[in-house]
Amino acid sequence: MRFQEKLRKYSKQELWDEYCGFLDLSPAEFMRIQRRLLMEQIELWSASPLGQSILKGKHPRTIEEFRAMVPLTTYDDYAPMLLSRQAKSLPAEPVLWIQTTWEGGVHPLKVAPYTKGMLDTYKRNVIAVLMMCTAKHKGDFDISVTDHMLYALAPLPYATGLLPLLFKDEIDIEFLPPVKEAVKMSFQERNIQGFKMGMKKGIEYSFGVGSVLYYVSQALTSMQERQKGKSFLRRIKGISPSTMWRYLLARRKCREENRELLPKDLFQLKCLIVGGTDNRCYKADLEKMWGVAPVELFAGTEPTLVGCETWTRDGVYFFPDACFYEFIPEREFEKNAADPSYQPSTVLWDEVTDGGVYEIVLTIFKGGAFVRYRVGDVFRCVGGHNEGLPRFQYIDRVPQVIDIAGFTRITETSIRQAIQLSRLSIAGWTAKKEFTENNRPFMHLYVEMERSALTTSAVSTQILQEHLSVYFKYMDQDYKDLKRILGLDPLRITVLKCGTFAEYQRRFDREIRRMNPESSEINDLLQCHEAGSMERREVKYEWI
Amino acid sequence: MSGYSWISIISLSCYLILFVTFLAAKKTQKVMYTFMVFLFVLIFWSGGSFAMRIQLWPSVNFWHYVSLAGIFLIPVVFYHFVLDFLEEPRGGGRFFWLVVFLGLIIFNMLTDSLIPRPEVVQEGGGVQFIYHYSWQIYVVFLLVVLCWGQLAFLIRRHCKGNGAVFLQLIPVLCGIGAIFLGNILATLPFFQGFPLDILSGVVNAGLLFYALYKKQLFRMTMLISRPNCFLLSSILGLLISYNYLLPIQNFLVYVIGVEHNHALIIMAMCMLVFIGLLYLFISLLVNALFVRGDQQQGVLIARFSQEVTRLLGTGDILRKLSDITQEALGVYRIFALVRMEGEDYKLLFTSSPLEEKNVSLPPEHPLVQYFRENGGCVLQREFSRTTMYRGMWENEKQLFSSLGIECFCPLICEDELLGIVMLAKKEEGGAYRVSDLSFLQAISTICAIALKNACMYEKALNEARQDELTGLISRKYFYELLDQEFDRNRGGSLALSVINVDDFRLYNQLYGTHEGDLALQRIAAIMKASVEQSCYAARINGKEFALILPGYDIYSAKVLTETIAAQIGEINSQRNSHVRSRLTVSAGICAAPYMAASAKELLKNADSAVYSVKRAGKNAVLMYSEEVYRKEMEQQSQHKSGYSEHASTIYALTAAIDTKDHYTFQHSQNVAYYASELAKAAGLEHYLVEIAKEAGLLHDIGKIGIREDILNKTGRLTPEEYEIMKSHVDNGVNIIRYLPSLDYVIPAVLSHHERYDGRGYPRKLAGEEIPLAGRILAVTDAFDAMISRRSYREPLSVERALSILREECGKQFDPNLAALFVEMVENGRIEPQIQKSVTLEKLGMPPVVVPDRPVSAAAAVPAVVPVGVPVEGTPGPGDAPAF
Repeated sequence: MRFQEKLRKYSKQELWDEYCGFLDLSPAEFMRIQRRLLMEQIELWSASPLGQSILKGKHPRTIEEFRAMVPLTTYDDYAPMLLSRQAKSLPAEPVLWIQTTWEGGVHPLKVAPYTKGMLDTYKRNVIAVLMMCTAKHKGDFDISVTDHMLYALAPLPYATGLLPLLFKDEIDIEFLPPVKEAVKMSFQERNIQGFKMGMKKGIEYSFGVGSVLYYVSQALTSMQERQKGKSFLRRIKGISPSTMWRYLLARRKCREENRELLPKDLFQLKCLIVGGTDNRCYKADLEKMWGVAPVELFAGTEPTLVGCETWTRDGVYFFPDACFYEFIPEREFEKNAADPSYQPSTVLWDEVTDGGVYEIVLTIFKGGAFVRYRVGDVFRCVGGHNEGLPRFQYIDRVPQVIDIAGFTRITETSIRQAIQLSRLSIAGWTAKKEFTENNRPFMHLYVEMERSALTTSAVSTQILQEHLSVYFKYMDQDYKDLKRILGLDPLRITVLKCGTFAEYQRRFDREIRRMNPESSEINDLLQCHEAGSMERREVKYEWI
Repeated sequence: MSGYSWISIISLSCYLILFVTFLAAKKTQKVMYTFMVFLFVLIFWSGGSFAMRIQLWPSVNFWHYVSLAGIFLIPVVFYHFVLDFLEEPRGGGRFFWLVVFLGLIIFNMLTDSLIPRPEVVQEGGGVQFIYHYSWQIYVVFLLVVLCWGQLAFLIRRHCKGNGAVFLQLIPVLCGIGAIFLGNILATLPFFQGFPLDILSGVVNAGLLFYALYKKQLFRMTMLISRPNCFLLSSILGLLISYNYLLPIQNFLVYVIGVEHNHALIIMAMCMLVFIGLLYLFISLLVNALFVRGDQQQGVLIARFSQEVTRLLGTGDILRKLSDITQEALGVYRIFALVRMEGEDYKLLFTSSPLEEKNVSLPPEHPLVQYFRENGGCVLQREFSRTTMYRGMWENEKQLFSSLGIECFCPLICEDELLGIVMLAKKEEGGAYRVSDLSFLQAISTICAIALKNACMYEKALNEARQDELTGLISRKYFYELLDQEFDRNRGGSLALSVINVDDFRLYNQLYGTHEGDLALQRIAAIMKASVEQSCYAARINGKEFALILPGYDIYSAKVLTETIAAQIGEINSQRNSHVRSRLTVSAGICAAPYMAASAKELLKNADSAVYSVKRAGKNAVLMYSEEVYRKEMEQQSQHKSGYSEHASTIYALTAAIDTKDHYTFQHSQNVAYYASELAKAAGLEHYLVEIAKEAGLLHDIGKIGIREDILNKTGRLTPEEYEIMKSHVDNGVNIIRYLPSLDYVIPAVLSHHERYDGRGYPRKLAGEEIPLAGRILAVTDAFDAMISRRSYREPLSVERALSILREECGKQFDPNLAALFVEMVENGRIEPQIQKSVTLEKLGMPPVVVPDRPVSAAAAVPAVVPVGVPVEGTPGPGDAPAF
């Protein structure tokens, strides 16, 4: 039975219990489901050639044995079988392959198989997300068959393209623009068309990466600008009477308040769903623009749909049947970052502590390929078990990855490749994700040029920035889109004096981390830079 | 009847029926009370109207106002009813509208402006009421519209996105429409005089009743009880006959000429008959409409209860459950799972034998969890909507789907989930109804009680028939079964295989009884797995098993037994944790009718074959034959005392020692002499004295396997040599265990170097753990070693040796035995064998010729500490056992 038929047949409370009843589980009940589904996955995965390629002949029979025998994995462990799409080697037959870019990987793309069981779970959880997002309080969701969704995400074969398909199976919510048409349009065209259709039909939901939604929301303003030259009749053509009424009121209000028209003036959104990185940079602006607080969800290509916030907007609740959750405590993953040979220990979902920061490790249920998989995302636990189920706030990617606005993931390898390709004589560098005064993310690259190159080539900050940008764009399509779609220039360069990195090493007896060093370490580096200048001035003075 | 008063009667009757029946019903929700208030208001309305039409006392006007109060309160009570029906907590208009409409009633009573008093028109003996409405009537309509407009708003708000609730509300909304329409049409001239408004009230009440029924707030059968039916028929009878009483009385008195008093009696009788007939009619109608289905199910439940409580077999109970379910509901297929001892719920019964049999649900299965927490039958589609369903495995979902399961029923007794019944779709199609689930719940509960009793009975029976340790058939039941099977297979064949574990007492002593029990369990598991369903595996003795093999001839029984024996031999080779000696079995086979004419003979012959195998060196499977029979007869005729029976073997062995080490030969004879004397003095039975003597002769037999350079070494033994020397105990045991019927000396031989304080070897047994014969040997062995001349020391004096024995009482030696021995030596009951050997004749054995050779200086292995052979690297006497 489709969800929309259930809407007619069952009461709200019954539907809430069906889809969101997991919110009322006790931690012990939650773990019971987790453990049971993990046993299924252990059975399937261990017997598969993929599992055996990692287990090397071992056969775990219990969860404890599974955790002891299976090392923490990354995509490299699966690449040989997954990239060649060896369906027979997998724990269960895939019905769909979802892909994403693999920045810093040995291949431009990563692919992940989805089984029927995974998709069924995904479908149920997608409806749960919609209910949790539209609910004003427990059980009081607001979903109608006639609703419309402004959809600002990539189509299949990307994971985000799954959503329209899954929704279509359950409810006739209309996507603006329709997915069939949207795939043929450019990003800008899609947004404009989406808003145009929204003016006629209304928009009840909006879903996208925070940064993209922010950009899309701004597109409404630019659309208004473009309409200025047109006659009133042409402007109002096709707009529904209710939107027209709101449009007229909004125009009057905007004139009075001397501001531009905002989406909230025209649309009464039931929920605004955001996913991806850096949402916290855009949440406040999005709420201002749409009049509703965004709800964050956690999903991905490999992990499927993992969890979502509720009406309280205070952290993501994980679904019990999507993945088996393990968490690497902060100290452990830092230890692992310093010494890659170190195998960090993990804690389970019911062992996390309030306020603790963890890197998540996932085992996908229902015949998924990935087990004990390090997705590379870091969460903070908010609300321990004494407050019901623990919730998690997304912090960022792991320090080894710089993710800008959920668009691109830059690793040490990709920076090194860009530097090599650019042939710039950079002697030392370190990169850190920082935020502008407007709370927008960017990558700050601290570089030190080779002394010999200073006399033979032009090495101003601007030249370096443009040079490196060219190669980042060359290597990474998503990086290019950052500028093209969001208008963001994600790279900022600070040139350090020659010998600064050596000075740092001399002072602290260690090299500074290449990726995302602590702010204190950057300060120390800048102090080395400054101190060097002081020393030089002193020398200069003496020389004079 | 005049003036449409029949309409009022009907409507009043309807309301009264509903009101009375609801009075008796269990009120589970507030809305049921509101509905009763609504009926009460309707009774006001219709009752007032009826009283007006029959011009009841006190006046038409009075009843007009009663009727109006009813009609004015309808909108506001209806408002309350809908909000309660929706369980809407909000709705601030409740009080407001109540005040407004009460105000209207009072206002109208004072002014007569909204609905004026009717004009009473006499027409042909009857009466009609003509209402002269003015425009003010529309004020009332307006207020009703406003009230219900707000109600519509509240309904919309409540039902937004809640389609199911709106569907439930549809009859209620139709009721609003009916009452509104009826009242509007009543104001039109066309319907003047006809109480359309009252009729619409009946329609409305019926629709509301239907809405409550659909919402399953009550069961129809609960409303319709016998007293309710009687009350209804009485009220209805009175109301209907009220108009006819006077004409009938007049007819009887004036037309027929009956006396007045008689007429009254006749009328009363008629009335009673009429009410009686009415009651009969209502009862039949109600039974036909509502109760028949329930009654049928009730009969089935009663029958099931009677039948099932007589059954004691789980399978029979489940079959009965299946039969009754199929009869009542026409279920296509039924599967019943019952909890096994391993806690899993396994499929024990299916109505379709061709179906999947390998179905089992572990205790943590979501369905099991659901029943533990919720109980009650559940439909598959409802279960799939629960949060627990998230924990289902994909193959489990597929299994339910492939079996076409639509409904699950728990078998719960005293909060214990004994089993689960899974039902496929109905044969005639259609979904399971609430009444079906109630029926299933009832029979599941009855079945669960019967099942629990059956399980307890089966458990008790199994315990009586089952060997506790191995789970095989017990000895007692084995004899029963053997007789049964023998009778059953008279026309065919029946084989019996008796399997006896070799040297099991030794196995127990070497590795402990726990390991011994484990070994028996593994042997039992092998036997269970190896035999067919029609065969039986039993444990008939401590270390003896038997297989009853109906339909087997000797050859196939032998093949099977050999396979089992081979698997038993592999038991310890498969276990990596410890090195255990190989388990072997001696098996004897016999089969009827080939070699036995009775069950008793069958068993006797198989036993004989086992005995033959034991005598022939164990570890073999032997078919009973004439040869076995002949040997058995010979054995019986030549049977002598236990000792003389084995004397030749013992001679052979002692002679073998003598060729290698003459000292040991002499020492063994001495020890045998001391041991038998001490055993006698300790009051042991004759056979134990014999064992002590034989053990004394054989206790150092293992030295045959020790290198002569070590055996005869005059200097200190290195630690390695010491270890080799200690191995003579195990060597001895390994030699003796292959001697037929001498294994009873093994415990003594094995433990003659154990110390009473637990510091001995090889097993470090202590105190009473050491077999008695072993403790006897320990004392006598040490004494003889001390007073003997050795290559590395002079013999100790008897006094000194006795003094050491006294000192070591409770440490090295059993204090009682050592004290007794000392006492026996001191008072001359034992003669110390100083520098001489005890002759075999002295021991009661025939002399044996042994080669003459010089007395070796090599050590026997006396266990006494202070006079030990020096061992390199050891701190000195007293710290370690020495030779």
